[in-house]
Amino acid sequence: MKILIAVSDRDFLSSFSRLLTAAGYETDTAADGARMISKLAENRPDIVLLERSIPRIGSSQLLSMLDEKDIPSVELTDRRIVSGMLVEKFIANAYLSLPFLPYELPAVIEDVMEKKSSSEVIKTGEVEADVGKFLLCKKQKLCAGELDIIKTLSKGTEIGSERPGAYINSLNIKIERLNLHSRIKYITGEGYRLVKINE
Amino acid sequence: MNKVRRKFVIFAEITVFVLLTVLMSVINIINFTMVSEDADLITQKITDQSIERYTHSPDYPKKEEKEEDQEEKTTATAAGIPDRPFGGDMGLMGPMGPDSPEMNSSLRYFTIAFDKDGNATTLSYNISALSETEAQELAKSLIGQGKTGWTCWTYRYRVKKHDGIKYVTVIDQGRELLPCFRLLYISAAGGLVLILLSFIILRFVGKWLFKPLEEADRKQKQFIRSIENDFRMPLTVINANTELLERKNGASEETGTIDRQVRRMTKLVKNLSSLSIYEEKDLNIVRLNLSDLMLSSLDRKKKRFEEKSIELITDIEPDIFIEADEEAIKSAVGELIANSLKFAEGKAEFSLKKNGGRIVLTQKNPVSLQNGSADQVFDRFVRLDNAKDKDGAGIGLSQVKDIIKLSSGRVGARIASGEFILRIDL
Repeated sequence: MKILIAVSDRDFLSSFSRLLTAAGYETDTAADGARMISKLAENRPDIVLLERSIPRIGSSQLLSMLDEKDIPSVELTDRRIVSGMLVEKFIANAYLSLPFLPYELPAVIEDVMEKKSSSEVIKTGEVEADVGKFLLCKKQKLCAGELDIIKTLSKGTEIGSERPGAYINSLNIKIERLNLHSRIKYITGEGYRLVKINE
Repeated sequence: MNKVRRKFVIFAEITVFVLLTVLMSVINIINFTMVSEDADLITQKITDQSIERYTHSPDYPKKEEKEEDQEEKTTATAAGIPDRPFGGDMGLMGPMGPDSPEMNSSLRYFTIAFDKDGNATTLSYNISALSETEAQELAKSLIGQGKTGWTCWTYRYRVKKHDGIKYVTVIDQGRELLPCFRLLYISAAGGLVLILLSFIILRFVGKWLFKPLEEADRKQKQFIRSIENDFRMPLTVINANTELLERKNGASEETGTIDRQVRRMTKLVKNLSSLSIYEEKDLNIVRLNLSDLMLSSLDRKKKRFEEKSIELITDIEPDIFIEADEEAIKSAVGELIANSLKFAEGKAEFSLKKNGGRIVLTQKNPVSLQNGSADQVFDRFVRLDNAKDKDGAGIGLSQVKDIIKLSSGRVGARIASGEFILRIDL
């Protein structure tokens, strides 16, 4: 698997390039947005690891480019994941907040690639999520965290992540955008459930 | 800091307004009171003098039988009007006081006596605004008010009963009251101008006074933000290189130590992020089901409470919504639960209720501390005595306070009857 790491910190590039190479990945690096674009043209990667505050070209522009080329991405952010970043026009396939432990990065990359290659479509109530395309009801972009929430909701099991809040809130915003009559709500004793509005 | 400055300016403006109003009111009340007291003194003197003269005059009703005295008395007080109600001694206030000889010519007054049948006798009449008849009618109406003395328009009067006869003395205070009213108007106008000026000055002074504080606050937040941002990447890189070292040379005590310290710093950085990240412009206000949030957060930590043998008691009213930054409120709730897990001794209670127009969130747990206010827990880096042997930097609850304040709420903590009680009003 070819990973393009687009991060401005050279030590990060060097360290993670070595780590990922040691883990069996093929890596390439870019220290700014312009270099990333030229690397994309030279050698198409399987996934891009993109720093949210990468210099020279904004990450949203780069994400739109990656979306166009259908290249999945993991965005590294120097702040906590908030629902605001998940409801932007162009989003990454997964998010990772700095600082993180070394093993977390390959875990997220593998998760994204596994989902990308999946043909699963999850249906629960009015909500339909295409896992491979990271799409909600064929219209709204989803990230890996949101897909996990939808999957858990469809099974009726408890949402396991420590802080699902940002994803639940962003999902509710996207569900509302689609004019669906459902919401994700917390039911005492049952946990989060997808319910019809006015229930 | 803007809010603090505005509060200071408003408080100072209210203080100036109240103090000036009180001062002007007191000055004017004293002034009016003194004029009235002077008038009372004068009416008393006039009344007493009039009674003295009338009782010895031939017109006095009780003296009809004593005809041998009548001629003598009639000669003495033919007019029945005292010429000089005031004696030679000017008293304490000298030429300005009621005993001044000038008072006779400057004072406008009249004294009317009413016998048991209501017949009026004018004892003294030194007034231009009223005719004698009008004076008698006014005096009669003043008796009807049932008071021994008071003010009627610009007149001050006294009613005294002696020997079955009612004596009404009325003096005109118009000239004495005029300067009082002038002082009142001037002090009111002057006071208003002063208040307006003080408002303007306070607004400018407030900005100037708080500028250094606002600058210090901004720099502190900037510093914390830059620490937080600048530490995140290096911590990640250190983690990665520790991993690489371990792969190359195997795990060692040194790499283990690096790993532990990095994790510790990571936690601190994540906590620091909440100290500065919440400014109004950063907030993403959404309609939030606080009941759901509390229930889900507590449910998630139920096992932890059980593991620590802490009885968890909850009383959460359903579907209580608030308008707030979701992540901020979640962070605050998380801190409360974490705090409870750390410090609760045997029991922890959480309640969420509506109370009038406000939402009240309460967290209670037994502690071994002295009763009293515990608001210092909301100060940064302050920890109570029972926290000494526990992990933490004392910033969790200060974050809670910052978050709640940004959501226009209030926080408070106290220790009562062996319980730590934290209350949040939204």
